[in-house]
Amino acid sequence: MAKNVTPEMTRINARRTKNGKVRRSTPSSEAWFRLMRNKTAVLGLVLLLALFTVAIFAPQLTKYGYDEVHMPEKLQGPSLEHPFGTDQLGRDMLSRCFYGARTTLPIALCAVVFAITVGGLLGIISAYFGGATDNIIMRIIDIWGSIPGIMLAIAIVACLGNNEIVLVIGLSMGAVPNMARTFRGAIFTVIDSDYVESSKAMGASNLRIMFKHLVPNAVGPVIIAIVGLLGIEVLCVSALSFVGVGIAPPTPEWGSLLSTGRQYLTTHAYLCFFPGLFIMLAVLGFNLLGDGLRDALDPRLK
Amino acid sequence: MTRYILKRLLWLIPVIIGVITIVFAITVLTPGDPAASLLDKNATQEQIDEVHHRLGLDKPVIERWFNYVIGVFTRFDLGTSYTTLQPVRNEVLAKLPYTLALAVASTALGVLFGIPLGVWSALKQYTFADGAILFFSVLFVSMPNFWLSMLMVSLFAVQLGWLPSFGVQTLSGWVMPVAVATIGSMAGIIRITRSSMLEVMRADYIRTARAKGQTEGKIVIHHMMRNAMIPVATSVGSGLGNALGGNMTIEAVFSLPGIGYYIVNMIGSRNYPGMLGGILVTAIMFTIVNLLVDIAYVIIDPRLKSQITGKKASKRQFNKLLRERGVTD
Repeated sequence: MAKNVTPEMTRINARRTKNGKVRRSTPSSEAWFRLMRNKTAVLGLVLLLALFTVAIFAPQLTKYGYDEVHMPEKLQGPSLEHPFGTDQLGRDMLSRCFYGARTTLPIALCAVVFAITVGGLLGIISAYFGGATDNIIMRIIDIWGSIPGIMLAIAIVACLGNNEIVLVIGLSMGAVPNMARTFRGAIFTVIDSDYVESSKAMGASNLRIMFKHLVPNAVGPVIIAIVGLLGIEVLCVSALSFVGVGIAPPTPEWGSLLSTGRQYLTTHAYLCFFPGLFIMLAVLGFNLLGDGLRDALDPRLK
Repeated sequence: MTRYILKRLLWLIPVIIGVITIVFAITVLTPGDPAASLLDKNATQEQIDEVHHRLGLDKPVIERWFNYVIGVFTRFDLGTSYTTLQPVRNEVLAKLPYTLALAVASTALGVLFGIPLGVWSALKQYTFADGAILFFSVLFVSMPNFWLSMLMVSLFAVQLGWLPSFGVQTLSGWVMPVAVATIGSMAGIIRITRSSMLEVMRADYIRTARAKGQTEGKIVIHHMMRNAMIPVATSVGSGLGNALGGNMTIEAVFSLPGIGYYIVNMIGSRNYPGMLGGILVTAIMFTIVNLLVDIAYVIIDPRLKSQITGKKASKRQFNKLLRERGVTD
């Protein structure tokens, strides 16, 4: 981001100096400051931190293993011993939900990283070179994007195999067109800047201009899109498992837990409640954080 | 205008060929033999060859691809289902009304409730009502629709017994699927309407309208809403498009025989023509919806319209305007 000093920044700087701490204010630190003042964004961040903690420390946080079968205690409602109850094999639902975070979140993260890499590269190249390159890439993206993302993901996973790697590839392929368009649009807003012109005049290479000048300056809308995509991917991972083409049981995954729980909906509804709650909390976390980032990075709207 | 629409209609042809190619590539890369899964394990090589011949799998990939493309364009022939040996076209077209009905009904209801709520929320920014609307819309946007479906089944079908838990033979069976899909689309529409309204409310022409003494009601309807609806139209259009493919989990929960549910079943039985046909029809519907949205866009935005019909229409400027609005040029 450009390092202009706005009156607001001077004000913030003055306040920080008064507190005895001298810290230079940059647009990114200012955005962070605004984000931290936004209560809902902080709530989203807290939700996500909690879920990632659960994912990382699942073995320490749970009393039972996620695949510990204990038939005498099958289909018990929530109690102190089993806060989320037990499933049809007497497995502790709390453990299964906690371990589920270890499946869903990494897959969603990897899919997003993959989608950014492929889609981002296509979008940057398209916007930077323009003309015929732009036309060809965007036409391909248009065709690619005319298959709804979740259907493309389902087709890829169903045909190429039910494992994590294929799932990541399938989900990211569904998201590439959107990412390419976002990157292209974001780069377009800065491509006519004088600093791009001057670095071209100084003989900077295309790669240097793209990744040193264009990408860092266009990062705002891209970050917002990425956080939004994370929420969408969490939904997609669980939707795929729910229809039976994602992670197969016995690996706990929130969507497949719901799919199993569905058979007990009429008698043991709690089996359907908690896994869905986890999906919702994760997506809610990403959405709240995304909304907060939108306000923080684009102060005009607040 | 006619030229623009014609151009966009012709664009359907490469889209269809492209979609066929993508899905074909996926099925070709698939490990395993569909013939083997149709026959039992100890089938002889001859039997497998016979099935291959009947399904046309003994021909080279390029020839199969070419024949399929020609078939789609000349007779809208989507191939023969492996399992039922019926034309896929008939199977898919029988499912289409269900998916369309769900998508159109939920989007229409979402617009009906979502836009007024979004506008109201923006006008009352920072009040309790705004906070509550915002809270529920972000909550429902984050809720997986299959989970919401199950919660509703648990409440309205199991606990209260008011509605059937699945099946759409009766009208009451439609209530829950449509409600779930509507809640999702409504939440999205509220969010986009609110943020678009907030942006427009700060515009100079609103201040001008106030300064010249325009009534508040007219300012909201004529000045704010007309301008704020442009991004909402895009979002409604893409929402309708996504509903065509994204409601498959709702279809699965309520046993609603739509295309999404059909595709999931076809995948389960390794029935590639069925899957390909379902995805192709969805992609065509998706593209047509986007095309209609883009045309509607040109009609509701006078700036774009004058670019097209005006004498001084500069193609470059027009394309730039379209791009700014996220419309495919």
